[in-house]
Amino acid sequence: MANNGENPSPDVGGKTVKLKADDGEIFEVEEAVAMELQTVKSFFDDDGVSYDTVVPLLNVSSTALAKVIQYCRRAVELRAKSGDDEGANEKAREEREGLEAELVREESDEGIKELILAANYLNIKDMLSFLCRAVGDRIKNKSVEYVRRFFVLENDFSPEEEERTRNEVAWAFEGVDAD
Amino acid sequence: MQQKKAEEKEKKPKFCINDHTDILTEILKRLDGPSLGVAACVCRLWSAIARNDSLWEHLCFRHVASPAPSSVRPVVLALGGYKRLYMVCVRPVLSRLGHSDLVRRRFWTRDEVQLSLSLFCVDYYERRLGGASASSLMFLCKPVNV
Repeated sequence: MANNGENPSPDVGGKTVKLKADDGEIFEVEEAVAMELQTVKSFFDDDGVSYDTVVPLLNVSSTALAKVIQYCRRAVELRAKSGDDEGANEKAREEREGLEAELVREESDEGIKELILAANYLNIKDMLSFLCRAVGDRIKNKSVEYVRRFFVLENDFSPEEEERTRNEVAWAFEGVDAD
Repeated sequence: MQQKKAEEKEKKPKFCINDHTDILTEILKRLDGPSLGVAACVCRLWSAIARNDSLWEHLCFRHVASPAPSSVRPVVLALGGYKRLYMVCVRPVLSRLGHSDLVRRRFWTRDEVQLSLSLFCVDYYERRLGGASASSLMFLCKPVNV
């Protein structure tokens, strides 16, 4: 099910790029949006690669890619809106923050980690930045156990190591609610 | 049920976020001091990442309008590093104001950072001279009952 039903952004010329997710699903996106993904941009910066070439993104699931494309599309639109006018810039910035919050609010912990990996692989700096901030917010002021569960980590400390580490940062546990 | 199976199937071939120390560092950069301390206790890998002094440097100067001059870093490193600076000086200076909530949320000023740096020097020399005594200047770091 290619993404052909969506109307391309009116400002962009007709050129589109095809991106293939790990399960083979093809997404057709406007060139300006595709170039937000630095990995894709580098792919085409190589000599002799035509825009007709389908870009294989083996490490990105179709769910994640769909969300990434949706975010980048709106980010490109918002950037086009901002200009010299400070008022317009401010409004665009607020809208972008709203867009980021919306994306993050709906995501499960697993989903957000998957998006981070996708944004990292596709090399989208802004997206990676706000996603990391979102994860930071989710684990802030939480217990050690909570963080372990969130990241699916095993406690590989020996009892002595663990005690020593906790003693080093004993101040961090003052007043933290065990959740 | 079916969705969960599909998700589990998806999880296996994917590489894990814990394989990316650069991403983990970016996440840890956004934490406050106490949360960074908690992170250090999660597992060996996280402990190693949290020991990265530049994370603590970032924390110490995060809310200061302009970053500290580059001449500060070698001094701080010589005196024990940014993690120690945060633990021994920056955090107590903020706690003096009362609630631990403030430690987490408040933005601190350049002056408070400067004071912390001065106390850090004091701490270093007092340690060299043989530990805290009754006349230790580090009393400035202890909480006050007002």
